[in-house]
Amino acid sequence: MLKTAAFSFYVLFHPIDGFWELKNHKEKSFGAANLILAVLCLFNVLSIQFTSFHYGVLDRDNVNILINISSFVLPLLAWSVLNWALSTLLDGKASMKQIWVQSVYSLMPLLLSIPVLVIASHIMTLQDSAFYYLITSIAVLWCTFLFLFGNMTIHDYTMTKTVVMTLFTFAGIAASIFIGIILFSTFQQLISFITTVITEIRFMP
Amino acid sequence: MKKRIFAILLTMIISLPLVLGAAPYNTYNFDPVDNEATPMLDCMVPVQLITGVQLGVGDLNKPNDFRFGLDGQAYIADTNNDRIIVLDSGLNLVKVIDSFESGGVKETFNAPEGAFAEEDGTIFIADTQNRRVVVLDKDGSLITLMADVELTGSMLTFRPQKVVTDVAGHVYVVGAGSTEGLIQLTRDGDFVRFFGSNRVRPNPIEVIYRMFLTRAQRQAREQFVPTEFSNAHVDEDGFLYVTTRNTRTLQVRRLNALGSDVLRHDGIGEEVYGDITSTSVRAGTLAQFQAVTTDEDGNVYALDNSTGRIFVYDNTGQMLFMFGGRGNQVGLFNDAQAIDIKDGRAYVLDAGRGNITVFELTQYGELILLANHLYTLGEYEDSIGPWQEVIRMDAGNTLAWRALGQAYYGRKDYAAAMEYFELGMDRRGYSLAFGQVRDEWIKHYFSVIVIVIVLLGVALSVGVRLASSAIEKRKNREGGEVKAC
Repeated sequence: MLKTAAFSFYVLFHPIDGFWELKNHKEKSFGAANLILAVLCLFNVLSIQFTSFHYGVLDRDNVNILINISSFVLPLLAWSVLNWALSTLLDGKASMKQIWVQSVYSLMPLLLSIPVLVIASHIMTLQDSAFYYLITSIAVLWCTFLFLFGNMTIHDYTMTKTVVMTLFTFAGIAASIFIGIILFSTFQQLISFITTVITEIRFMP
Repeated sequence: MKKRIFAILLTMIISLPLVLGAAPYNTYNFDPVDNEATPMLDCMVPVQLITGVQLGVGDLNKPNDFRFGLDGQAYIADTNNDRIIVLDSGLNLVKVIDSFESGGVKETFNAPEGAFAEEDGTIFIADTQNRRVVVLDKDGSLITLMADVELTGSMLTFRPQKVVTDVAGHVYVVGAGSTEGLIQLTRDGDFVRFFGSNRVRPNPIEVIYRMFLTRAQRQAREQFVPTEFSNAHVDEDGFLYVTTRNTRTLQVRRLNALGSDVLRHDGIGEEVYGDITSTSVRAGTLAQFQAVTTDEDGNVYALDNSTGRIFVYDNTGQMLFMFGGRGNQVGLFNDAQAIDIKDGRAYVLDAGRGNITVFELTQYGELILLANHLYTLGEYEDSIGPWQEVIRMDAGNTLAWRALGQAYYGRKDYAAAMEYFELGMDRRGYSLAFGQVRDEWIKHYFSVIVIVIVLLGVALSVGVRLASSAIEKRKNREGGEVKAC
């Protein structure tokens, strides 16, 4: 599993070959991906603690680790589910598990940038912030790049189709959030209706 | 018996907060990070309530102005009783002016809304409904009658509400409905010019909306006119302070001789005075600044009529604290109209109830003013002591932490400055202090850093050479083996 996790460094520079290998020839890639995600969450929490004050979170007292972690995990989960749901309809070749693995591996640049940023925050003043944010933007761009090529490889898509699928997935996520909210509020009303009826019956003269 | 003593004690405890000297409001300041109102210790507390009956002049009826003249006496414009009440510096009655003689005829006032006195006791009275400014000497005989003032180039009728004079002896009048600014007069009562008008700030949505309207429709809509001043005050340096109602920004301004604003509004987001509301302000809660005054250190006390609160700023526009509020207890107001400061005491005139509330600085308030005064003068070293005392009483005072950071930065104690800036949530200050620490570190260890870099470079090149020769050897051997096969 560790070997597969270490394979992510190869994926960083050879996304097409790398993701193909990962999908078809690597063992325990699901566990490896979860390991990487765990490390990412850990790094992110540690960075709140160790980033220098002038680049860090102003209000450290109000940081909620659970919210912080779920801000990584929940979007990934939504992405995997929705991307799988849509790609199966449009002859994608990957399973949900494979999409999950691919998305986590695509976050590697972000993971690597965190320690660099933490160290940089102890070297740079706010005047050098351009360089600091350059690191962040490189990481984000690299992640996007890996995401697109990874998704293209595992689904055996063309680039155009991948981009269109990505947009569809985002739309799908928005729609599912919308439906989720509607369901939530409907159930809330249903429950309150039932409890009201029960109360009425209990106190009936 | 025991029960009775207990009951008496209990009533005493319950009535404690009603005793003068305790504040019926919660003092706060705005957090510089998120602009949230953050509670702090009381800085000013009510200590005395003065009514007209106590002064021996009967009830005051809608008094509109209270201010100390430059002669040290206090002047109340008792508007609906048509009189001016003169008090000495200890607020004891000196006299009541309700009439004067003009050309042998006895004249009275009609709803005077303002009064002001110069060093020699010359009194300027804004006789509002008679549309004139009456100038009396200190014995009450007429010097000048500024009536029928012709405001050249304006449709406005002259209705003076407040009047002040500056060091050069110019007379400035706050006129009702005067959107062009203060009315400047000569000492003989001739109109000179309008002075320091507010700038018009058109609402962008309105501007776009107007593009789609015809000329007739446009003219039917409300016009963009500058808002009028509500009050004026002359500070120790002879600068004019003016307040404006019905605006959201720059409600308090300090005017130079050209009529432009010279107040630094550093500490205030988007130059907003009074309560900062992040969300849209409802019409009813818009701050209505009605009066302003300054103390000898140049701190600005601005009175917001709509909330009854007095906001205290230093001369850079940094808010220090507030006091007062709306309500019926002592220290709260119904319709606060005027404020003045004398010897660290604040006097607030409530027109609705016709009384004057006297406020005194608490120890904490005094400390803040002292520390901040030294700090704004740039005497950081001397301000450290008072600021630390402030912190000892209230460790939640962000202002104090920031000032301490600045003071230690000035002392070149950058590590301490970093710590204080962090406690004061000041990223910019922290970054500056951090930069100094870093540069010092680099200077100190420069030789070590160079040696380390050189050594690393040498080690790397040696390592690469060794590795490459090893690979070469291996290749040769492998090649040899292949050949041997």
